[in-house]
Amino acid sequence: MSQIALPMTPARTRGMPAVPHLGRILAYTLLFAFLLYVVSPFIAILTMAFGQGWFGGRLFPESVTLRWFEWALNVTHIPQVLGNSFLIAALCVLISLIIGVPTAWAIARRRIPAKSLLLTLVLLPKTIPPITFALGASREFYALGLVNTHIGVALAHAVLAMPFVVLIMTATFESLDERVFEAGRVCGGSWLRNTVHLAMPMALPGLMAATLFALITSLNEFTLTLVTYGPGTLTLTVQTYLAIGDGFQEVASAISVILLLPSLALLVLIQRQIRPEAILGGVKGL
Amino acid sequence: MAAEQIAVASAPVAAAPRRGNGGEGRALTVLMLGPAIAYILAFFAYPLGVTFLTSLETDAGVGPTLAQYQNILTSEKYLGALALTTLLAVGTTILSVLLAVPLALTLRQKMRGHRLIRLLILTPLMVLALISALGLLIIWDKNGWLNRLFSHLAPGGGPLSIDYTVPGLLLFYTWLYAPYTILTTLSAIEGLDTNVEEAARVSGGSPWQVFGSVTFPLSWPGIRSGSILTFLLAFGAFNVPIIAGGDLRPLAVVIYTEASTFQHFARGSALAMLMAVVSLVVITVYLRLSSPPRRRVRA
Repeated sequence: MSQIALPMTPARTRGMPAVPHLGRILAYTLLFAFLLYVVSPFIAILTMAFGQGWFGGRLFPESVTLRWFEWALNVTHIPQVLGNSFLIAALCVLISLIIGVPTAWAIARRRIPAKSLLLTLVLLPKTIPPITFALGASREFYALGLVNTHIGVALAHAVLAMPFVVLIMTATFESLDERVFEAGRVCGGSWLRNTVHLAMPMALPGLMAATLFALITSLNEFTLTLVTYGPGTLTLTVQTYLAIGDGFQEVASAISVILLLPSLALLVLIQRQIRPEAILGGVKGL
Repeated sequence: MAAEQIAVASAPVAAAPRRGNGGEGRALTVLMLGPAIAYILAFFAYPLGVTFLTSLETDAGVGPTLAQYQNILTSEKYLGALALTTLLAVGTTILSVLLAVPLALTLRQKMRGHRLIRLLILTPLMVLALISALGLLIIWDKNGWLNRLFSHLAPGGGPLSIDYTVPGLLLFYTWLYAPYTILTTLSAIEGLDTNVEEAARVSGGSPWQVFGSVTFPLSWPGIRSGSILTFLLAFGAFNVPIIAGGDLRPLAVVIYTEASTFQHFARGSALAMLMAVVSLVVITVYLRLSSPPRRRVRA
């Protein structure tokens, strides 16, 4: 692929480039293959969720139906499970931000001993397979009475969400220009005024990225949910898993279609507002 | 801009004068760091310690003993699971780099439709992994559409064996975990100063030479940081193989089955500790081997 990118001059890199014909075909083939690779499972899920009699080697379903959605709503209590998931995710975001943001500020802008050791400690939960501490956590959370409580599941999730918050916010706080605060002080701004009017607006994109990463981590977390959930705190991941495990691919697909909507809304929001490749590019923690 | 982010991340010390030397400042620092440290000790280090202590017990709960580790290290079943896990994680990491580099080089040209592809890169991060795994199972099923599309490539002309096979799991893992590598690679390659590549070209370098000795080395730190995330996620993967693995059971699945189905907490814990150690060792070796002579190449 390098032939495509490299013979171009920097001026042509912006705007519509005059790529050689063959290179262009190759490039679009690659992009189309990637599109097919990423999108195909969703097309399969949609067809499965709305289709009836799609088995036995048929190319398309026999007919269109909504009964799988009916099942999903009535049998698997999706609204309640959705509520559980978002409550837990919100608590997890709150915990990770309250703990993670001050830590990131201290790491980025204050003189602290053994800084790299501290950063390693914060990142350690990300470098060890979650099942390792999930086994111990199942006993600890049971002993503490945290199993089957929303706050308990959120506390478990935050172990994996907080490192993201610390990483992203450390990179964000490091990029703040000290001269702006200097100017704020010179103009008579108090510490509070400086924080509210200068630091917060400048750190907002990072804060949004951190929030979203924490939110997604919680919504997606499976291992730590499995060892802390109970009947009252059934989450979407566990419910989807149970539905797939029961062998009802149609119902599981219908649940999935319902769950895809908020995910896709988040996706569009993120791509518009945050440019995650810029954020992740700034993160060199590992 | 990505370039600014990188530059900032690599030169943070000069940017912010440090404060917090006095007694009051130190108290504030402790106040800022205390909760995080306490939290990690309580909900990460402590459970990890519990797992470790449990791993030193026998099935009957007597210990301390290394019996579980002895069992594991002489058992074909468990060593096989470890080999499978490592194979899948390494394979996924390699595939994700092979996918990320051409994709980033193409997207950098900002051709028509590049925004849509950028959106697609994020999709696997936003969607529940179980949903994607279900969709992949359906579309690559022996009657699935993609399988039919590519079935003429199969040796016997029949359907390809994708679901519940090692190549299939690699395909699914790459779908799920490559975005981390792709994002950091894209950021690194788009952050490159194109003048450097231009200089190499003007000096008579062939496209491959320019790529091999300029573009790739300069973007390597970015590729590396993403591929480490991909490796870690693939190594610890649990939700995908538990529904899409079939008889292929990577370590995380074996551990969960031992602990929850068979109530062999001690054996599961010992396997988990082994898994953590292998993961840390592989990452350390990878970091050593892949670090450039100068620790950080400035873009």
